[in-house]
Amino acid sequence: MFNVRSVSFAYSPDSANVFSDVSFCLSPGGGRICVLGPSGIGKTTLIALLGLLAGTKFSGQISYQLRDGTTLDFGCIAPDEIERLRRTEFGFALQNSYLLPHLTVLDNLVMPLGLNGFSEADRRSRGLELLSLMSDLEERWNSPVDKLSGGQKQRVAVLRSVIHHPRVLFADEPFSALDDENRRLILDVLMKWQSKDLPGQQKNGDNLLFLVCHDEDVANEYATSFLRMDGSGVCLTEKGSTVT
Amino acid sequence: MNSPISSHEAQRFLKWYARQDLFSPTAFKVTRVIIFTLAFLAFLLTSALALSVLLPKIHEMRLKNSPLARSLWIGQPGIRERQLTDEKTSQIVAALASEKYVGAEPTLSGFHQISLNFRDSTSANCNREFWGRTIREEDAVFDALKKHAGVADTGALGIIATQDLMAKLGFENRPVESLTIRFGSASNPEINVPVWFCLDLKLPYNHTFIISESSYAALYTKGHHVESNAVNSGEASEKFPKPKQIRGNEELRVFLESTDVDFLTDADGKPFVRLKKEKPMAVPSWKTLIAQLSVKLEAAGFKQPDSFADPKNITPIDPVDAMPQPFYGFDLAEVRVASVDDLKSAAAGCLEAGYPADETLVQQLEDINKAGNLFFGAILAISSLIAINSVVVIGVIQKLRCEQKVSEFGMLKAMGLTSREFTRVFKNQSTILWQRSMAWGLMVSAILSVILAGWVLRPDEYSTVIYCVLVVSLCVATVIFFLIRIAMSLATKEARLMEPIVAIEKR
Repeated sequence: MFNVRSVSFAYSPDSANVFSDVSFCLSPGGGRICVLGPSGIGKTTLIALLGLLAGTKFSGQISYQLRDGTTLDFGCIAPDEIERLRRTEFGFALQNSYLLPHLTVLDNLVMPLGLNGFSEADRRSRGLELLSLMSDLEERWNSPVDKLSGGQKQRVAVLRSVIHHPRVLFADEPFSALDDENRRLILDVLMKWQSKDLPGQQKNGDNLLFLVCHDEDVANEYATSFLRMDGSGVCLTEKGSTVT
Repeated sequence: MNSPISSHEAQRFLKWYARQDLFSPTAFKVTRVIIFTLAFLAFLLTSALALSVLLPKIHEMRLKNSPLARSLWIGQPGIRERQLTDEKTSQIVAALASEKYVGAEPTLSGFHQISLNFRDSTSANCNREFWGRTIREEDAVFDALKKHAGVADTGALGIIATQDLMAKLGFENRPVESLTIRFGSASNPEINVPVWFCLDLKLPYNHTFIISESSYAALYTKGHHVESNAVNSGEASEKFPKPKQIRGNEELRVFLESTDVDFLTDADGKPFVRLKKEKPMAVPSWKTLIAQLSVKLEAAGFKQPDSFADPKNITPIDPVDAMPQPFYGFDLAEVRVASVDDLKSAAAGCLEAGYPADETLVQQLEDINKAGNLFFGAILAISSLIAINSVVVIGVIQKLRCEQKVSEFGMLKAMGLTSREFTRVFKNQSTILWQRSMAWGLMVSAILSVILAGWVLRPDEYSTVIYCVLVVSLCVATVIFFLIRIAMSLATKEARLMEPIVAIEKR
């Protein structure tokens, strides 16, 4: 699905590379890839590059294979295609919730649907359907999000990242500062999405989850592959065997 | 994605988001500041520009609507001293038929230039002479003057004073209706002459009043008591209080002295007001002349009777009846044109024929235009500076807002918000800010216009004011619309171009 070859990246020409000469290949078929590595090694930057959030000014090659087999080269991808991928193919759940504080839970949740041109009725029905996974949020669907707790906000953000049923989900430490209960709830949602068990989700397809986390236990429990980053490079391993 | 993408729904969603972003409880305070700043700007610009257009325009309108606006006064040495004869009249009419004058057929009438000498009894050394003109019932301009309340319909005696005259006599704060000038003298009956109205116009040749022709001369006023030399020297001393005795609302006194004791006089000091009654040549003189002529003709061999039969129907049998009417010409002439816009070409036509016209009114209109343009330019420059300043301030406020929300924008981009949609959100916000601020600003301007209109305007000026305010409002609203767009575009440029991850991590 992703083919990364000798990729180096710096945020500006006069700054040092965040990482250099990174290569790995992910075959189609989906899975749950846990990105592991010490702080500052470039995990967030790497998934930002893969998710087309950090632009296309990198050296090396990143290619992405669509469901129909078409391969897109991120080095020369058109802006419209970038926006389409972000909107329909990718989902993002980041360390902070980045919710819009003045909007309600439901309004925040359905933002990706709004951008995808869903009608208000469709947005509402699909949003409430998804909220039914979390009873406390379901009760407060019409509350402004700034009235929610940190854990609730983060859960809303994770639900928002999957509401449009993306093919690839980039989850960058979405539960780093949360208690065990909230962590479990979020992981449950991610698992349901990956296994295509969310309400209304189509059963075909190959969903891929990138999960950045520091918790080895969580990684071992939920991941199907590991992308380990350290000073010497990147190593992709699949529970026992090295893919690349 | 199992739902079709609807661009229409997406646009609706963006509009909804733009509104939410502006009117959320936290954002509303800033939004309100921007709206009221823009509203004030709209009000300020509309008011200033409308006033700068309307003041000269209304001044010009009033000038053009003045009863004398279409009158061109012609003066020339050759037609003074009552020498405006039929022949000269023909020359002027012929001149106006030239190519220079393109207006409708003008009317021509003669009038006299007269002087009144006022001695202000309240200040011993104030002795002033004022020039004016006469007017007759058959003059074309009299119809225009009659439209003013207070002007008598037929042949009554009256004075039309200019505001300049009133001010110089110290009457500017007195209602015209309270003023009556009385003509009279020791040897003539007194007669009240009302001040018909006060003319808001500067007259040609520095004239300050217009007086209808009459047979009487000495003047009094009700409020300002004016009297002739004769009255002053005799009768008035007991009739009227001394100046020093005047208190409060009691009558003020101004003495008028005609250069001739009993009469108003024309420019040459000749009694004018009695012109109509001036006696023709005495009958014995005429008979003597006829007799002398007959003798000469007979001596020259002419037949006596036939010589007088034709063409003037004069016969020696009744020479007195056949006496030619005495001709009395006028000092000056007045050409009344169809439109104020014709004044300049009419003046050019007259000048070409050797009769220079006083172009006071034309000059006044040109001065108004010049002053109006200057005023408008100055207001436009100041308004532009204020507008640019306001827009810069709004741009800075909006930029600060953007910086606070940059991670929110980054997240929206991560969700697929395109640059075009990002721009559309801010265009929607610009439109919302513009609509609200224009509604407030223009509403206040409209209300003030209505109040102002009821206060200082005349009914016939309402439509001009409404039209002008509408046009200016439209221009101001359009300019502000584009200024907001520019300000918003510049303020959001950085956030628009930023990569999502950079924006998100900028928090």
